[in-house]
Amino acid sequence: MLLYDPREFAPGAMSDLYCRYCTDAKGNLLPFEKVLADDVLYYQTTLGVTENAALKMAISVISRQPAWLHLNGAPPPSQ
Amino acid sequence: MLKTGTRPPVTHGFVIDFAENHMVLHGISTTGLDGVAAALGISGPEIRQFFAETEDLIAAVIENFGARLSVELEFGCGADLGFSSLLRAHLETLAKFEDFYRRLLLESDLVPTSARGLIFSIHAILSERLYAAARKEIAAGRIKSMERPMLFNLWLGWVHHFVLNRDLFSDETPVLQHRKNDLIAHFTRLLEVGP
Repeated sequence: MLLYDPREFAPGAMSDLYCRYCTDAKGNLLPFEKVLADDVLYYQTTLGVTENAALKMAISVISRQPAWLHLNGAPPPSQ
Repeated sequence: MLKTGTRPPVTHGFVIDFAENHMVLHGISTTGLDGVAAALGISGPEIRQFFAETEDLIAAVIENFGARLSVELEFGCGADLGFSSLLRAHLETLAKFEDFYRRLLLESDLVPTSARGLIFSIHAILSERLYAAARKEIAAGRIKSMERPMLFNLWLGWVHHFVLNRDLFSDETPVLQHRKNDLIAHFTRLLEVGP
């Protein structure tokens, strides 16, 4: 998820690696499947695109985020 | 190629701005890191200190647009812009980025999926903000009720038509700067609840 609002970072932690969309209330990283499903739903409800299109775009965006860079072959992050 | 004496020091931000202009002139899908480096007058390894892949450079240009848009829409301030003000802020930001954005639309099937994904993300956020503003107008009975994605797609489709065919709609560019008042006025009039 692109972050443009301080409220979108993990609670009280703009310098943290992960945003509130990828973490629970305590700042712990959510499972990839949960983040992906939320993103797909977000794209469908805001843009009205098909589930397949939303899935394709969500994967392309999420896989560029620090927590999921390893999906592109990078080493997994250490927290 | 830029002569060393005529360009500022090569920084991350400078490469992004330069690449944006380079891609407008030469295409996004046909531009590679080495081409940008050569035009800048630096080596392949030097540009790879900033960007590992061409895809990263394209993503950085789009993220730069997203950041500019966020400032214009005051996402960072959490300010609640009104419906028309949001439309205006969207067009004014897009106008500054219009040459690159038009290239992106023209080459949408050719650019990396991540580039489309980033634009998609920006649109999703914009749709959310726009609908939040529209809901107040709908609740007040000033504009017609409409589903969130349809409202946004109606607006975006119209904007894209003007951008893609801008030579037909304005003798000068950016077309969105010259036609923004018409676009906003007609769009809001379409949505207005009649007497």
